[in-house]
Amino acid sequence: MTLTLISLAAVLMFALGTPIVLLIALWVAATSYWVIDFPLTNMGLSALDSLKSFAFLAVPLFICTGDFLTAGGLSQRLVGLSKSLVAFLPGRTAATAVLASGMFAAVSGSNAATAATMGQLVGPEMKKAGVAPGLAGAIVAAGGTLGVVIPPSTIFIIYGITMGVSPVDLNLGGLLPGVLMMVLMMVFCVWLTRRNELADRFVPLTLLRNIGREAAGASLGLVAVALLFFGLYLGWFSSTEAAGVATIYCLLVGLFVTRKIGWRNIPRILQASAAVTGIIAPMVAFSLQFQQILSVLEIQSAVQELLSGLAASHGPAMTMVAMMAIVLVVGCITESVAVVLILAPILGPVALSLGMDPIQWGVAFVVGTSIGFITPPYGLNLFVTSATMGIPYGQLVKRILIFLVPLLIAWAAIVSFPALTLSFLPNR
Amino acid sequence: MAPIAEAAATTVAPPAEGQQEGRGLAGVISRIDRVLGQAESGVILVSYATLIVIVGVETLRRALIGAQEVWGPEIALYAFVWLSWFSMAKHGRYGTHLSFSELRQRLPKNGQRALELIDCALWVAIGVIIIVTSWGVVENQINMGQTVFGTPIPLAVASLAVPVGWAFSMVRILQRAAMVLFAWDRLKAERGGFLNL
Amino acid sequence: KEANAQEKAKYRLRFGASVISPTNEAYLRTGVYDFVKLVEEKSNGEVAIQVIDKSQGCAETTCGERVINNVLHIGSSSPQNLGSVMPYSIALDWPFLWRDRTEYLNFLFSKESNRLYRDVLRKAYNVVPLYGSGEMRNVMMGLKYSGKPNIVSPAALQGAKIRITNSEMISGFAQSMKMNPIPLAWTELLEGLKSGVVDAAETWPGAAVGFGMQSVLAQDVGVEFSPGFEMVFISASTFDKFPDKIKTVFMEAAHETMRTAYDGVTEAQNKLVGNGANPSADTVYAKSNIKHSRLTEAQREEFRAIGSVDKNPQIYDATRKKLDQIAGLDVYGAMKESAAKLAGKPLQPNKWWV
Ligand code: NA
Ligand code: NA
Repeated sequence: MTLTLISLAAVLMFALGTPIVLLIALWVAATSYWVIDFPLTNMGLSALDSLKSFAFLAVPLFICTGDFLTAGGLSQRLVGLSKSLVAFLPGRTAATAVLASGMFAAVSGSNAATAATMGQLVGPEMKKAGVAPGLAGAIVAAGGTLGVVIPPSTIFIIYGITMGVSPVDLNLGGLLPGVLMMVLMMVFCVWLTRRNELADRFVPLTLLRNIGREAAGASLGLVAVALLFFGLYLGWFSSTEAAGVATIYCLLVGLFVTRKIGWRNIPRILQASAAVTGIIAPMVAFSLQFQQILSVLEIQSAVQELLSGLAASHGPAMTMVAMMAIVLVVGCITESVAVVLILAPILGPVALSLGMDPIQWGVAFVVGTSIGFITPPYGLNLFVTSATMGIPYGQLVKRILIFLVPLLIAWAAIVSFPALTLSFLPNR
Repeated sequence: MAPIAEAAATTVAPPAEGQQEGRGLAGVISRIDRVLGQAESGVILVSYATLIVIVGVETLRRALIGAQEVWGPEIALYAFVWLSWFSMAKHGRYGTHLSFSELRQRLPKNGQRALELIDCALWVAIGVIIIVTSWGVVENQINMGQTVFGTPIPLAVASLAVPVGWAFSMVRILQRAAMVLFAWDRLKAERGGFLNL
Repeated sequence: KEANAQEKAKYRLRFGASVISPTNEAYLRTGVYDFVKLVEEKSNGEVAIQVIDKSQGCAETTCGERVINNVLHIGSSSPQNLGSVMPYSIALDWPFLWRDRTEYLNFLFSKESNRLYRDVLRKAYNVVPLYGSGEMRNVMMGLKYSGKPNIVSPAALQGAKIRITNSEMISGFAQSMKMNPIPLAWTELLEGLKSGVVDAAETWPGAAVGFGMQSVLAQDVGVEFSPGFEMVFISASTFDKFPDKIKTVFMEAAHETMRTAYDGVTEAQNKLVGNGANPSADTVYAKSNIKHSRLTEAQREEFRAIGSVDKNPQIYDATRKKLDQIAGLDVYGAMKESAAKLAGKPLQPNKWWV
């Protein structure tokens, strides 16, 4: 009863705009005190030890890789390369936005950074190409989901820590699913904006020459992508180490090669990266406590029993659909970090009991939470694009729903075909 | 270079620099804001840089010469804890924590202000719990003589990040509450200038 | 029915069983589930214990602090993982102090354990150690060592990158073997052993298999250098509130669990893990092709000669000073005397609290 009242109050306050992390903290404090008689000392303890995981250090590092990449002028060159690759297509500018999101995502671990950067860099060009503002914003927001699916990904790292699976395996497993999502979204973009920009003449030689020129220009950025991918794939680095090396690489290139970063700019860039850390870290601390309370209340095992019962009566496929629906619905109203910390421990064991590989389910789960970035009412990428591109939230919401189609198709494929996630893992 | 990095970074900008600091009470308030902002940015900068340098350099050392300091990760982790809670403080001041704000923005001015004040009060309630309980933990660590692994540094120096970071956050929250009460228009104007995540 | 039991109980306790689960318990044999059942039975339902396992209540490295601060009443963790919150917890872990698990478990059964270990932990950290269950720590080689011959001497380990956590005893061991200590998070360990970010890890065989390391291990080098076990402990403030009758229930249950878990470990070693004296054909070691390098006494002596605390005074100096200060006595010296008395004895399950 008390629990229901506390939870209802939290939902009401969510609708009235109280910060999500504060609501989670309040729910934790109120439930600890009034429902389960759990010492509040746990909150002080968790504020320290929930963050004390070496693997977690990759999160702030993979946030600033992208920021250094942009500050060093390399993100712009990745956009140039993307543009040259799709130059002959109808709706090429919209397609560029998605392709460039994917390229940026191959260095940055953050969906918000991906959406914000692309909003800045490709937003104005889409306007020039005559793409309606609401649609342009929706394209950027949808492309931003790639930030946490194409490796590196902060969410894979948080999932790995939470579930005790290898963040490296998860990151490598995310590559093909990310590319699949990207390609499907590009197809949609081309189709949606085909009348804004008609197909250009397909002259292979010119196209190749341009691609070659742009690739040369973007080579320093591509080296960062390669460093990360091969560093992880060949086992040179752990994920935290790869993040550290990539950060230093992007910084040094900006400082000494492109010379677009001055020593005096570094503080400003780091403050920007810190803003994302300042959102993720408290979310982790309080979501972890939320999950601890659920286990004291034995809610996890109740939900698991329910799902296992469903598997027994309606079969594994139905259970899988139910679990995906849970991820999708919770993702509509909650922050992705909280979704991972709270839902992953509940659904993970069920997925495994259905015979799924832990890495495949981990990737599928994170793809599901990434869709939450664009589902209203609470969609982080929608807020980011709305702010960077100056597009009213309502307009975005109207145009974003169509992007659920390619993303849901990709998601279903990732759940159905293990090869998409597992074929890139070394030693398997 | 600045414009893109700044805008792309999905973030709160520092308080507008070079803005006129008026005389009298308003002047004092904006000077306090500036000093707090600088302290906050200072901690963020030092801890972020520490973390990047330790992880980056130690990794290269391991990859190239096969050696690594065992205390590296511990120090980097504590730098991360300091970074986390001071970065949170900044969101408290600028109201940029993630929220569903569509409905609230449509409310009349005083409705918005009331909700903002309720949020601030709730933050303070959580803050008090965390400061008191984490201080207990730090005290315990001092009494038990715990040190950061592989160094003579007392563990408490590292774990003080929680009570100190949260106390600082509470100051920023109170500052915001004061602005909601006495400088609402300025607060709103400020908001427009930042990316409101 | 369970809810009724909970309501009837006078003492309702929460037990943070760290990463233990019914699945890995088969290999680890920590006895936590048996212990809980025993306490509930022996107290006629006056005590009800909610086990929060599978890392849902606390992790190996955080259970200790939660019990110290009375967030959870009972906890379990390996002393190595407790080291950062209870520095004295590692006082049994001196490399090459004990020759096998029977010796250090006999120590935990002995009255000596009160003066040298239990009372010190209680006084310094306000926790009452109950019992321990486990094996000895070995050096586990990653996949890079597949097909390589058995490692039987310290020379073969020299220069290898070994993953360490926050235990001075283990990093001291790595140093004395001239290995390269690499700090690596648990979540990255499996990947690291596979790819070669680290060459080796150290743990006890039941834990290695219980936590799924078999897919990335090529060889278990039976160095048996230091105790590797899960310790179960209760907050002293909780314990002291019990009437004598309940206190005795806890001690009796701990005693019985420590004894049965000892046999349980032997059984698991032979039937499931594969490091036992008479392993069956379908153990995890056999199925996963993990070579078990069983060292002869002479070979172990070679490791001991290089790695013992006495041979490496500079490495252990700071640790010794620290622990001596906490206990107010020469900890290593006293432990060595105890170890000498217990050397080679079969299991002697004495009641340490009587
Ligand atoms: Na990414
Ligand atoms: Na959403």
